[in-house]
Amino acid sequence: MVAWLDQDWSGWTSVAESEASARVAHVTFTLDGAARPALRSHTMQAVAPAPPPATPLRRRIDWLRLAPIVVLTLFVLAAIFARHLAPYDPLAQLKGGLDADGMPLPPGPAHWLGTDDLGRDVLSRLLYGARVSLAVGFFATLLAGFLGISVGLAAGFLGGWVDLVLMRFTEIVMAFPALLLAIGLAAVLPPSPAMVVLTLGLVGWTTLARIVRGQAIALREREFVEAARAVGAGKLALMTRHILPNLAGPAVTLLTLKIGDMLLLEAALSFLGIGIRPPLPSWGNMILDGRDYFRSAPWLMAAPGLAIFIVVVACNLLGERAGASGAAI
Amino acid sequence: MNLLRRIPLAIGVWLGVAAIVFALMYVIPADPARILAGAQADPQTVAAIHAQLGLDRPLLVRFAAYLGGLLHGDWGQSYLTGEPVLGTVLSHFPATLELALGALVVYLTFGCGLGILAASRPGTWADRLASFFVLAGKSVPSFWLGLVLLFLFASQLAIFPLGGAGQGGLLDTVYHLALPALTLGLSGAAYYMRMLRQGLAAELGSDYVRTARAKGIGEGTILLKHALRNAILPVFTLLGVDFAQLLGGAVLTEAVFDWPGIGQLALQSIATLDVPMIMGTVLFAATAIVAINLAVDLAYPLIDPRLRDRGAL
Repeated sequence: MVAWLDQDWSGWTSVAESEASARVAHVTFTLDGAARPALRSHTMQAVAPAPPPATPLRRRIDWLRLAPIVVLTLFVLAAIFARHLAPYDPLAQLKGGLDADGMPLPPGPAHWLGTDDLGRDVLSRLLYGARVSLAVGFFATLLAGFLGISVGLAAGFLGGWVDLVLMRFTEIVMAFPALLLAIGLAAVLPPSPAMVVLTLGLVGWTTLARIVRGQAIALREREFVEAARAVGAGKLALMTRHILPNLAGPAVTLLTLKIGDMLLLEAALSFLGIGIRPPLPSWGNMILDGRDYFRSAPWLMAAPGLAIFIVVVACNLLGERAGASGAAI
Repeated sequence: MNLLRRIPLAIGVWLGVAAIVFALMYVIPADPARILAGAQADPQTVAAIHAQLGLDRPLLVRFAAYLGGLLHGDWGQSYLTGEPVLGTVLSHFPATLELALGALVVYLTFGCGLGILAASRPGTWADRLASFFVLAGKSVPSFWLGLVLLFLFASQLAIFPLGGAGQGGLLDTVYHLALPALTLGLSGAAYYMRMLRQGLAAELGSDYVRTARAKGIGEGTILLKHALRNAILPVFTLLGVDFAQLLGGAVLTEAVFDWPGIGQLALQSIATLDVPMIMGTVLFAATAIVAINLAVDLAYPLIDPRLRDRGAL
């Protein structure tokens, strides 16, 4: 079964591709021997372009790699310093915040991104919302990463019935659509940001576990592990000291991509009213607020939507670049 | 041989799915009766449900009873209306099916179309545009894309309706389906594009394509008649997986466009905290996924003769 996950995914060629494969591998088919090498060779071809001929004197700057770092840094700084950057209190229903008809104000010099239906400053809410959304996305990714790597490592390294049980369980969790499972969890867990992190972590670890498992199986047979085993290292030591460090590079790449997924899922839950709940602003519930005004005040949903889009694009670009340029083992 | 292994596996996964839903309803909450009765229930109702659930019985016995109920079509009752969960979910199924089919059409036209275009002109603007499309499709919040499409095409240009499923009739349905299907399909189409582009690139570099070129066959024919036939196989698999996911309802898209499918049902049930109904939709979605994945598994040898020859996997 899914034997092709067991193969050495040579150097995690295009992590994104492996993720897609993990999605597909959900169906427990196995491509036959003829098709598989082709899949493998094209992944290598796709992500390992020939090195640029004759390095030019000036080092070329990889803009696609630099830009997302700059963008993410700016967003994180903005979130951290929201208190100093925000022109208004994000929760204050400002006196001049609505026009004569009680409608939100469009973007202008006083309110750069306009005001919302309660007369609150959208820019200030966006900045404070960045805190909530980015923090939830980050911690949810950490949790999903911890779960995914633990399960994948244990299954791949220990093998046998541990592998069987853990992978069956992973398969069962994957049988749920992520959003619906999150909805089910949100329905029975108390509403709080910590529970949103828990929910996202609990639905987000499965693809990671599959990929880490494949990698752990490949590493298990390598010489350095043999050597450590020969000098008497225990299973736990082998896993944590020898295999885990070798997974670190690719895992960081995968987790960078995961942050994007988690941000989208948080936004979705908040948009449905079961993620981060008002009055605490998050980008997702800001879009929900703007939804009823999408015709008369489109800036309400434009600003948070674009913010999510830009940050997720940056995460995905960063993750793919890192995966492409030798976060390989 | 194949059947003998696959079907028990699928049943096992489905039992696990039922166990998780059972745990969500009856094990995680401190007082399941309270959760099932709804937030506004009076103590008598809670006590009655408490007795009905037999909460003092061992967990395994209760799980067995729950499974028995599921298999007999008893998926519980909505606490709000008292209607059976399974019947209500099934009554929302046709709308979800329409939306799912619409999204598949978008996957195939946009995703595969752009994939073929990009593979036929590697390194050109078409290829770069396609890469951008993949990145954007992966990164955009789908519900936000839906709102933007609504703003552009329903509000500003007034080409399409603002929401709802229409009054029936093929044309009216398609008219109402266009924007939701596009919303749902565009972000998913990116995967197809990437997959097909990479698959085609690999096939175009293989020996049989070189042979075909040497024989003087045109590039277009090679691409569409030779390479595509081999590169399309993973696409079919992904299509099966995605179709299964779509059958569980597209909660976000249905919410934005007020589409009366299963996702909308889940959403309304959340608003009223109708837990049996929420879990019913979750269970239905997961059941659809397990069933369709099994069907794809079993159908695969029909599509790929190479698998048929070997018999077993």
